[in-house]
Amino acid sequence: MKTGQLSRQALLWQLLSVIAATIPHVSHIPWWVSLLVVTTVGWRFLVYTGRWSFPPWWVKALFVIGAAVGVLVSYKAGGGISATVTLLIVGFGLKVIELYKQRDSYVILFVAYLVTATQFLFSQNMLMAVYIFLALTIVTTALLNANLNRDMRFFSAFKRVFWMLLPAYPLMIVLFIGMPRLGPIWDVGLDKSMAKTGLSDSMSPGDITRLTRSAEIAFRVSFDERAPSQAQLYWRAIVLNDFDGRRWFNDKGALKLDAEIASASNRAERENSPLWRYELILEPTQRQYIPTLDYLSFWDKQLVVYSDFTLTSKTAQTSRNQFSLSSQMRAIEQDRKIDSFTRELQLPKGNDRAKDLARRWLRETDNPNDFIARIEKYFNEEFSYSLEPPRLGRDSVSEFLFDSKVGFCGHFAGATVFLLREAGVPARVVTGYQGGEWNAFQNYYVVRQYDAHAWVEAWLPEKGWVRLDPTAWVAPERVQAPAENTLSKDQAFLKDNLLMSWGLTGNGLIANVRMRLEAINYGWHRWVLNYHHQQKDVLQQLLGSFSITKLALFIFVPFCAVIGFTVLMLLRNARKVSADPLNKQIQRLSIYFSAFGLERSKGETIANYCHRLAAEYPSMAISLTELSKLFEKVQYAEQRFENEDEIELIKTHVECCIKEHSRI
Amino acid sequence: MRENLRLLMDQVGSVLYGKEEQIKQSVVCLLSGGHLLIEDLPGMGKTTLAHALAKVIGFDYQRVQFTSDMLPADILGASIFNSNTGDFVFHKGPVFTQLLLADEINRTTPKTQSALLEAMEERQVTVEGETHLLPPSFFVIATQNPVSQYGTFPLPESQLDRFLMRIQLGYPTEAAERELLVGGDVRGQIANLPVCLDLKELSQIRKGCQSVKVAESIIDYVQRLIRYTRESPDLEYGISPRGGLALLNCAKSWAYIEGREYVVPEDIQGLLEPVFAHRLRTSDNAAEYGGNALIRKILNQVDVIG
Repeated sequence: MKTGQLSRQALLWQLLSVIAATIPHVSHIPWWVSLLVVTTVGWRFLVYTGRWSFPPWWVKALFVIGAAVGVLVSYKAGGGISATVTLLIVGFGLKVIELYKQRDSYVILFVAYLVTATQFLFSQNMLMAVYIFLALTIVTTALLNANLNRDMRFFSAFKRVFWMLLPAYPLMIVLFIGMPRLGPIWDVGLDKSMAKTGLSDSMSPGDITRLTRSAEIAFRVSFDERAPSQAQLYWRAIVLNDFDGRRWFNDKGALKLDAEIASASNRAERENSPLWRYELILEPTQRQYIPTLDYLSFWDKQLVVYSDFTLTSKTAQTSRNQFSLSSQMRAIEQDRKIDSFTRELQLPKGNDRAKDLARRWLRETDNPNDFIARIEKYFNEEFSYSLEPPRLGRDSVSEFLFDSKVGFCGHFAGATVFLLREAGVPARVVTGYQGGEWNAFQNYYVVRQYDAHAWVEAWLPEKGWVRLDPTAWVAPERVQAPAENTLSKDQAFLKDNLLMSWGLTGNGLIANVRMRLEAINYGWHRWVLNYHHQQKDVLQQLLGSFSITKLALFIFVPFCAVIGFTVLMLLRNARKVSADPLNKQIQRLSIYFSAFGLERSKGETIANYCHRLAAEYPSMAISLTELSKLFEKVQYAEQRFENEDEIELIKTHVECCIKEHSRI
Repeated sequence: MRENLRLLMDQVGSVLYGKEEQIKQSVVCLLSGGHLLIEDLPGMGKTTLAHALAKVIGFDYQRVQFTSDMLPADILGASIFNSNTGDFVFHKGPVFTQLLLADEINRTTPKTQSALLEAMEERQVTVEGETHLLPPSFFVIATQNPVSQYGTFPLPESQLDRFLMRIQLGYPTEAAERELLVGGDVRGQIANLPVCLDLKELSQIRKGCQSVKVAESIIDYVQRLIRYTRESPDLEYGISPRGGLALLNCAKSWAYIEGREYVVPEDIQGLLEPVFAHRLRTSDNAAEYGGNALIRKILNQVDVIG
C-alpha cells in the first residue's frame, strides 16, 4: 500500500469498529455524542458510496468546536470516568470524518480498543463480556484490513482474525487463573453519580413503591446446606429508630457491637435453633449496608456490626462484593430492662388521633401481646394492601389509620411502631428485603429491588426483640410467596418496565429460560467476577502447596506451548519437507542459500534456480549446471528414483556447492 | 521434421517482428490439434499472425470477417433451390476448409458464434438434417477484440473453453517496433511466404508430440496447479479437467519443438498463460489482478517440486 490510502473494504471495517466500540456506551454517554458518531460515520459512509464529498475545513472546525462546547456543557462539574470515555468517543467520532489514510485508521483503531475495554468499568455482566470479545474481533479485523495490501473477502477477514485470536484465549484463561491480583494501583473514580436503586437511609411514605418499579437485582444468596422457607427470609438492612411525624430515620448511629460479646451472647442458644450459613453477592449500592437474616452470628471481621445486629462495610459498596455470613434465629437483648429504652419509645408531637387510639387500646388490653393482637385485628378489618395508596399529609399516621386505610409495607410498619411506642412497647422499623426468587438451576435466591420491604421489631420482656410484620396480617401472600406473584396483580408493579414484568410473571418456557440465564449469570458472578476470593483455593488445588516458582511455571509453560505451537504451524506451512530424495537435496541447497538471500522461490524451476545461483557465484557454475542437468534427467526424463548412483551424484554436487560457497 | 518447424516459425517471424514466443505458442496449438484464439487491440498484428500461419502451413484456408449481421448460414452454407433440376442443392460455406480464419469472432451475434463453435467441437456441420464432415485437420484461428471494446458480444465461458489457447500479442518491443517502422508494411510479403509443411509431415510431427514422455513429478505439478486454481479465493472457479488435459498436451508439443523427449516444468510454466488464462475468471476480490498477473501469482504460489 504505497499511497497509504485505505482500501474500500478496510474503510468499511473501520466504520464498523467505531460503531461496535460505541454501541455499549450509548446508555451512559450524553445523547448528542451518539448522534455525533452516527453523523460522522454516516457522512463518511456517504463519501464512501460517492454521494457526498469530504467536508471542507470549516465544517470540520464547526464539528470540533460544537463537540468541545458539548463536552464542557455536559460535564461542567467533571464527570470522572464517564467524561473521559465521552471525550475519547467524541475524539474518534470526529476523526472518522477525515478517515482516508492508513495512519488515520491507526488513531481510530487504537482508541477503539481503549473505548471497548472501558466498557468493563460500567458493566461486567457476561453478555457484555461476550459482546466485548466480538467488538475486539471486529476492531482487530479492521486493523488487519488496514494493513493488508489487497482485499480479502469481507467475512473471511473476520474469520481469519477469529483464528488468529484463538490461541490467545487459553493464555487469557491461564493469566486469569494464575496472575496474582494486585490492588488497584490507581483508583479509577467510578461514576458515583450514576443513579443506583436501593434502600435509602430513611423511610417516608412512597419510598418503597419506587423500588417496586425496579426489577434490578439487589443481591443473590446461596445457602450452604438448607435454606429457610420463603416466609422466614427477612433480610434486615437498616434499622430506623427516629420519627419526625412523617419520616423514619436515624438521628445518630447505633452502637458498635464488640465481636467477642456478640459471639458470646449467642453461643448458648446455638444448639437450639437452626443456623443458616450463606454466601451473599451484593450488587453495588453506593451505600454501606449489607442485608442479613436475623440474627447475625458470624461475619467477616472486616465488617462492622451494630448493637441492633445490622451489618455494614467500612466503605460504600461501589462494586459487586461477596460475603460469607451465618445467621441464627434467636433472641437478642432479652436481658435488657424496659427502663433503658428511650429512643425506641420516642414520638414526636402530632398524630393525636392515632395516639388517642393507642391509649384507648392500652386501656382495653392488659399485656403487649394482646395489644399487638388488637392492632392486627384492626388492620384485618378494614385495611387493604396497595402499591399506589393516596398521598398523605402532615399527620401521616393518623390519616393512614383513619382516613385512607390503604397502604403498603411502609405505611403498616410505620403505623404499627407508632402505636406500639405510644403504648409503651419499645419498637423500631426495619427496612430490607423480604423473600426472593429460588433458582433451582444453581440453587440460590435472587432478591430484586421489588422485594424491598419494611417491617417492625418490638421488644417484649424476656423475649427480647420480636419481629412483627403487619403487612403479612393484611396481605399474607406477600410474605409466603415470591413478591412477583403478589405484586404482579397490582398495576403499579414494574410500571415502567413492561418487558421485564412480562418475563417475570410469565410462566412456562419464558420463565424457565429466564431462570436458566440467570443461573448462568450467577455462576459468572461467583466464578469470574469474584474469582479473587477463590483464587487461593483454586491455585492450591491445581498446584498443591504454593510456591512462586510453581506459579511462574504455571503461567510460563502454557505461554511457551502456545507460542511454540504457533511457530511450528508457521514453519510447517513455510517449509514442507519433501519425501522425495532428490527434492530433499534441492531443499537443502535452498535452505543453505536462504541465509544469503538466495532461497529458491516456490515457482522457480530447478534449472532456473541453478542458473540464478551460478550467476551469483560463477565459481560454482559447473557443479550447478551438472546438478540441474542431472536433476532434469533423473526426475523428468528417466524417472529412475531408485537409481542410487545418480542421487549420490546430486548429493555430491550439492555438497560441493555448499563447500565452495563456505570457502568463498 | 524439427528443422521444418523451425523454418516455419522463422518464416512467420519474418513478417511479425519480435513475437517469437507467441508464434511458438500458436504452432504448439496447431500441433496439439486445438483451436487458437488471438485476442488483442486492433492493429496489433492478429490478422498478420493468422495469415502468415495459414500460408506457411500450406493448408487451404478461408477467411471470414465476422460482423454483427451475420447468420449461421453465411458460415456453414445453405441449400439453394436449383430451378433447372427442381432440387435443393447444398452450397458449402467457408467453414469447409482446412484452416478457417475467423476474424473478430466476438463482433457477431451468439447465434452465429455457436454455429461455428459446434463445427469446431464436432468437426462436422449439420444443415437441414444432413451431416457434412469437415476435413480432419480442421483448424480455426479466431481473433477477437478485448471485450471492453464497443460492439462486441463476449464469448461465454463454455465457448472460450473450446479454444485450446488464447494468446495475446501485446505491443512490440522498441527494437521490433523500429524494425517495423523502418521496414514498412509487411502484409505484401505474406503472400510470398513459402509453404514449410505438408499434411503428411504434420501428422508425423503430431505423432512425435504424442510420444513425448511425461514424468510422474510433472503430473504432480500439473495437479498442484489445478488444485490451486480450484482452491484459491482469487478465482471464481477453477480449471476443468479438459483444461488440465489441454495443458499437458500443449506441454508435450512444446517439448517436441524444443527437441526434448520429455516434458520439463519450464514447458508447463511457459504455457500456463495461453492455456489457462481464458479458462479462469477472477473473483471480485482479485479484480486488481489482471489475467497475466493472476497467472504469475499462480506460478509463484505453486511449488515446482513436491
